[in-house]
Amino acid sequence: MNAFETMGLAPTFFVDEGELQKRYRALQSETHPDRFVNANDADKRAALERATQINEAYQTLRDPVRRAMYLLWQKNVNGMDEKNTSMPHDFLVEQIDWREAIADAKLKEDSDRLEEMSTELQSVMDSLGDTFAAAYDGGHLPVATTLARKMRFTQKLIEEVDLAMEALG
Amino acid sequence: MALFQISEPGESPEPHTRRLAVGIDLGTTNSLVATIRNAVPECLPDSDGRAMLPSAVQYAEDGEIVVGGAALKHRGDDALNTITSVKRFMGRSVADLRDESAARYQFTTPSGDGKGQLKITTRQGAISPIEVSSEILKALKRRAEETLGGELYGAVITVPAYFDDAQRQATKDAAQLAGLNVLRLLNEPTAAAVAYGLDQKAEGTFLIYDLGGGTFDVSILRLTRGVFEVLATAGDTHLGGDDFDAVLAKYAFDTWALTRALSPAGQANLSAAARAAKETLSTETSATIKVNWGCGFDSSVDVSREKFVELSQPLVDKTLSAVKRTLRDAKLKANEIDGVVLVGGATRMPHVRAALESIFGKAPLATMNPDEVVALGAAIQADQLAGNKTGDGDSHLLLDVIPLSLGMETMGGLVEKIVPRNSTIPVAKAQEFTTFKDGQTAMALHVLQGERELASDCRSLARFELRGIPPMVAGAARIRVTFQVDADGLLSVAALETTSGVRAEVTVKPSYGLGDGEIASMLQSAYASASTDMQARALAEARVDATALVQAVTQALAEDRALLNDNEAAALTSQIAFLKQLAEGSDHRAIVRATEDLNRASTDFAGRRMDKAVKKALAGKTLDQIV
Repeated sequence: MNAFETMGLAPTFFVDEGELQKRYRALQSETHPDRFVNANDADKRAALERATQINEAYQTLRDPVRRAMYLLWQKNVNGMDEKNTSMPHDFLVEQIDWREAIADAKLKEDSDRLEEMSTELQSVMDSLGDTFAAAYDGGHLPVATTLARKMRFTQKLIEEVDLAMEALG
Repeated sequence: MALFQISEPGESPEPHTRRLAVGIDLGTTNSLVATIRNAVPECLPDSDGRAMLPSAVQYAEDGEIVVGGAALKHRGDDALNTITSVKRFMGRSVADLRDESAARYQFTTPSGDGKGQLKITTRQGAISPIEVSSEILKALKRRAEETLGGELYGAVITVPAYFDDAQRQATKDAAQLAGLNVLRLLNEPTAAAVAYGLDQKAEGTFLIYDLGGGTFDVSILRLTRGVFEVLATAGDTHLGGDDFDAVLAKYAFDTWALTRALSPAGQANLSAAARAAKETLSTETSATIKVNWGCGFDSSVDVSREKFVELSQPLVDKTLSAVKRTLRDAKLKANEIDGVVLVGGATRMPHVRAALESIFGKAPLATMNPDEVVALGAAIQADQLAGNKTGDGDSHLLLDVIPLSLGMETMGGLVEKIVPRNSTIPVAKAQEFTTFKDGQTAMALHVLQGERELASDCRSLARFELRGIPPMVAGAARIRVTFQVDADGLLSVAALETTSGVRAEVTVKPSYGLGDGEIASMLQSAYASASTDMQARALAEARVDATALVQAVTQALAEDRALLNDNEAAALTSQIAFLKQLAEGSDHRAIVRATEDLNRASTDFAGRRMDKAVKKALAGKTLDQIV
């Protein structure tokens, strides 16, 4: 069973987070090893395996970047392949600009600017997700792969902004 | 749907017979046992009305083993044979010891290289911390059985959330050695959250700040309709109230300008005086550390609260940086936390509370006794795990995480992380490795836990070898290493060479816990005088297990025969008949073997039935009912 089948969801990029969480809890309520403490070994083992699988599926699907990569992987595309990292030139330049801006805001202890960047990056992430979904559903896998990689870069920037904000308190 | 009934075959035939189940908080300084009585969780006191049992064990001259307050009295006059704060030594080697605790006792290591579980040299021989802890657990078990008037069915034992695999395994071994059926190892802050959450019917995101006698944990949980989901956890297993005492003791030592190291007895007296001063400072603005050294000689020094705050600030800051790390790991900001819950006696210190208030902008919650809340939560969980909850409506679910990443050593002494910290358990991850040299036929696998890059900076959990790899060119073999962490947070590792199918498996246990053989021999020596009883008991237990399994599989067949083909069903039916027949005889080993066989044979069937249950859970209607 793949992650979508495990959670009983259609294999698309758009996943309703509330629904995913609801299903996760319902499934764990049935299979968690705590429900099988007094059971025989066979049932205990089955519960451990299923609960493990459900945790894995949930973690894969709740994170947009992992979800995108997983969808590609279902089509035999390895979006994380380190041998194939060529990205469009303008995107890379953009990345450098972002990093400089973060470093600059950090240096100036400008937490307002960091806050702005965080919001901006989140909307970049959302629109990348929208485009990814369209490309993936349309069967344009190379385009979708590039978009998924952009999402991954963007996620790293968001993490960096978060770290910087935290460092400033 | 009768799913739960068939899945819990151990359920007693009379549905209203309650099983005696307890929660045990095995603390650094004090331990407690609690249970559910009249639907309310409560700590069970000793005959003098004290709930807290000092975690002290004296190996006395007359061969007795004294536990609790009576042992603590000898901390001064029989320091080397009176073990306190043994929790700090659980799953630890001599090489792990920090200077100050290394001075308290004489330690030995079985292997002599400073690695592996240390032992403490006493007049009764070299005693492992697992044995010391089991004495504390035995005392609590006895207290519970005397109070409740029956044999315990099982116990939930709490551990610091930040305990690593070796420390968890050691705790489980101690419980087993004490003759307890461990229903679950439960993280202390999670236990506290259960007690709070169910008591206050709380919903939202909570941070549990648990500063005990010797350990510090912080966990962030989301509480939603009976589901307790741990989002992140962090901590320090060598930071607690004891360290605040030590700061005051050092201050006194320096002030008195004592020139030579104290004797163990002197050290114990000074620690006790420092602790008393710390406790006074929680309510007063100044206190006196006063030590009577004997022979009419004593020393004293006054400490103001400001001075204490200044001296202990580095300790508080350490806890705060862990708090910030959990927020970061949970991807939350301080203002998104609905409440901060205080657990552990050390949270009575006003400056700890003030520090939290300044981060979260609201006063922390301390409506439940911080000393008891962990044991109470464990009791609630034990009651549920034992199967005493009848209605589905009030059952809750705990989804916990592992505190530290798990990985393997790779070339150059680096660590490849396989299971990241804060992964929800149970969890399994696999990673492929390959050979380094042409024709390499064996591979040494080194399992590690921790966040650092270098293997030498992480905790070494186990080393094992995969042999018999067919000779291939370097890099051609595919060794798939699978880490499985169960709901107790305990790891097992399996390695498989996928091109040839060569297999090696290890439950990460030997280097720190006790081997199964070791536990068996300790139990045997404990029961040596009653060996015929043991035989009878073993047979009775084997029969109970066999009968329960026969019942369960028979019922499963009656309900889900459709999930099997004719051959499979026939095979199971004949195995059931065989086991039934054996259970009427008196060969307990044969019964145990046949029980294991039937368990194995029905594994696939159990899996299919579980899948059916999973599908059912996803059907819309059930979903709305459960969530």
